Amino acid sequence: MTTFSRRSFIEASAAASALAALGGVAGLRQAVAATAQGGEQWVKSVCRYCGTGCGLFIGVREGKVFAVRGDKDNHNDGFLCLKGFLLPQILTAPDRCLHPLVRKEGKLVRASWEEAMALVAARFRESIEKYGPDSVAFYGSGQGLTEETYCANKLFKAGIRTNNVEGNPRLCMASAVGGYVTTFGKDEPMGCYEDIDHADVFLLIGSNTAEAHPIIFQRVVRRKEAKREVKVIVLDPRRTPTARIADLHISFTPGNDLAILNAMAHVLLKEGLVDEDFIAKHVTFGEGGEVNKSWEDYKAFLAEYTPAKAAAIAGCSAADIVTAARWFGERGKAAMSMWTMGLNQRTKGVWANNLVHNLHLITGKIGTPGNTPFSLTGQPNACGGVRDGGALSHLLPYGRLIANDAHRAEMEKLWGVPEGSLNPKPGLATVDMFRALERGDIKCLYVMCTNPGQSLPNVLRYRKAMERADAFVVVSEAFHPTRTSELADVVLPAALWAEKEGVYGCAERRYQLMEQAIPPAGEARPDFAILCDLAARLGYGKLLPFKTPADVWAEILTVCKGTVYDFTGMTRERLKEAHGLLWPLPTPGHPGTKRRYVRGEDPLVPADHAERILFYGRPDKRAVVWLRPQKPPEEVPDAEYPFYFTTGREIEHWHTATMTRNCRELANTNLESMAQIHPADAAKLGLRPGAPVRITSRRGSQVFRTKITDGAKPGVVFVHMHDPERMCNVITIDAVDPASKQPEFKVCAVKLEKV
Amino acid sequence: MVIAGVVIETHPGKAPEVAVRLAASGEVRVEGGDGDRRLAVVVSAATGAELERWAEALLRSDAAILGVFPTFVGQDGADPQQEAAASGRWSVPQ
Repeated sequence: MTTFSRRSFIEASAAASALAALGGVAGLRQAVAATAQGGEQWVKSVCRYCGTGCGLFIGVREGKVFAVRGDKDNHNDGFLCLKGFLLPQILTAPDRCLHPLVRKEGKLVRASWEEAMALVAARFRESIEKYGPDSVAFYGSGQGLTEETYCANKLFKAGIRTNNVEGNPRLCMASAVGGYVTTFGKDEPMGCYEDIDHADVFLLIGSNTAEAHPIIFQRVVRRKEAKREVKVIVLDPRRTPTARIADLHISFTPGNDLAILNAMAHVLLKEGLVDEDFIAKHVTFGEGGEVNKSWEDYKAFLAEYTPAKAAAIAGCSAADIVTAARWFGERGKAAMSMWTMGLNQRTKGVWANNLVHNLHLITGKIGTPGNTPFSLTGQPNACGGVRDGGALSHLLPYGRLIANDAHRAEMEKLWGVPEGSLNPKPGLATVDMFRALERGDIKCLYVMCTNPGQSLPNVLRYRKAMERADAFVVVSEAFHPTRTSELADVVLPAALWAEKEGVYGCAERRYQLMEQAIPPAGEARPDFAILCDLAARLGYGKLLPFKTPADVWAEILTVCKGTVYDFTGMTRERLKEAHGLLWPLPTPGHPGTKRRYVRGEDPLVPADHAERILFYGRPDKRAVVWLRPQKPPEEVPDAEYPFYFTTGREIEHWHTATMTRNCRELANTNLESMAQIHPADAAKLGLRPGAPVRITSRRGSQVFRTKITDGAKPGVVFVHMHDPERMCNVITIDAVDPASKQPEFKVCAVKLEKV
Repeated sequence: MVIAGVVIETHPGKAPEVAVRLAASGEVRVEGGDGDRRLAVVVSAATGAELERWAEALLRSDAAILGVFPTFVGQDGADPQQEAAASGRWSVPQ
């Protein structure tokens, strides 16, 4: 019998993994053999980071996670980015929060679970009794598991009876939701990752895909390599790594892409690249909030958006706009657009989303392989847990609305609470919620699995709100300190990723079960268990009677049934076997739905429907082309603040770096936020590489070291969002999109001073 | 010791000659390939950072290589002390 040393086992696993990525079955067999003889287990799971939802296996030996490997049978084809591969390190990080902490005499000190939970329950109960249910609030996360978020949503909305339930998807995806809902009547993309393999033209706008979604980018690269004539158009003020594969990179002044998108539509119309038949059958037109316009109105609206005018507004080339439109509209070529925070984190975010959808609708490039508008998601479960689960202040689960009487009545029945229990008034959206905390209207805030003390715009203002003496802030978090837990009155140690079980739903409507691989570290508990405990202490134990996350999932299946999300066929058993399932999936035998609204694919479109598409999300069964004029950002440069300031991601880190800074290799790479400045601007300011530069907005000021790069656009300074020490959000603006309530992280005006 | 499984992507048709160069370098163990543009290799290094440097150097030095993609990263030996670069020792700007 062969004896495997740890090293030979790891080498065998590494080889098997690489060979498996090539399709080498022999490699997999070798790994299986190694597993059998080495005593290791490989537990099927999902990456903890971005919204791509890469499948992976967690390697466990002697109760510890020693490695991960990509899941060859999942959409990521066995590939993971470096962040994913380094996930094991976060489990044993030095700043894992391993026991409850309670603030005493200004300091967070160790406490028992009983002491901490008794205090949390007492403070919440006291506030509710004294000031009413809306004096408390929940702020969750697109990183919480679906079952956890569902429990919180139910506890606060149906138990405590406040709609002050928000989450960080408000900061990243709300405008995409607004775009889908206003255009198609329902949230979430109609396409899927497989569309990448069929697209002939990619329009990447407001997305540094190469760094923020590297595995999706890799798939785009593969498509381009496989078919040489595939075109990639990148619209981004900066020349990012994504632009390296661009056939056309349009750099423009931040916030002015609405003009460019309307000008592209102008060219499509002028050059006869629109699909009149599709428009006649499937499209209607609207302006403002009313669907009251015609095709002729839209043509008249577009007349003024000449490429020359748009180019003048946006500071780009008119010829490039024409080229982009021609490539996008070329008949017989499939066009896929992808976008993320560059469009969403804007005061005109919903409008920008609408304008991307417009391009697909007027060309009919939608609903066939490779033809789709596809929003990329920032977090691993923003879609599944918060958007689909309805854990925002205006939503109820699975497409239902707080403001809709029938929807509330339906949820009251499903949740077994008396008629009229659900508050008909939507709660406060994120920025308004923290302003209510600032005013003292909200007394108790429960933060789960997120870091608003670093991630909110204009963050110093809201840090002060969290520090108020009369504000009671609970943070359930796997790490301490974070920029939020340091402000908390109580810190609850939460189990992390491999330590708990639950479902994640990624950008393409793919739901995946993460199975528990190891016990929680220290005294940490899954958020599911913490919330059930809190519910019992507050007297709402009957609302959360669950023993396991699987019990929660069983209830969720009854709540999604009959909605457009219907995934009743995703039983726990099926999720365990599958490598991701795409909803709708209404029966146990259903294969899942790659493309929504499409006859023969989407079970909600009748098989005998006369047309290939049915936009069933809207009453008239038509998607809306919206007339959305160019509008500037909330704040533009002026004499006092002459530069644009914009923020984003780097490939090595994720969000507020709570996890990635706990990986040695990542902590040593690009964690420090630097001011990325064009050489011409640096020369004018007398800045040399590494020199300190103070960036000041109307809200705050922060010193960064200078990074001079010709990838920057003149007049625009970029800082990444990950650094907990040099927080870019000291500077960003907290103005929000009036429809989605999403803040405009991506654009504000600043001045730069050599320090 | 960090051990990684890596797929190396090359220009079409270049994988065999890249495999020869890699094997000759002694830095990696070539496990296989598709005979066209992809190779499966195993590489080890003292630290993850060293692995990253190796990947970057490979990309710079061999024009036939388009990309280096890890498919597995494992650690041989006990977990060394983890040093978080910025674990909560921050200041609040005014």
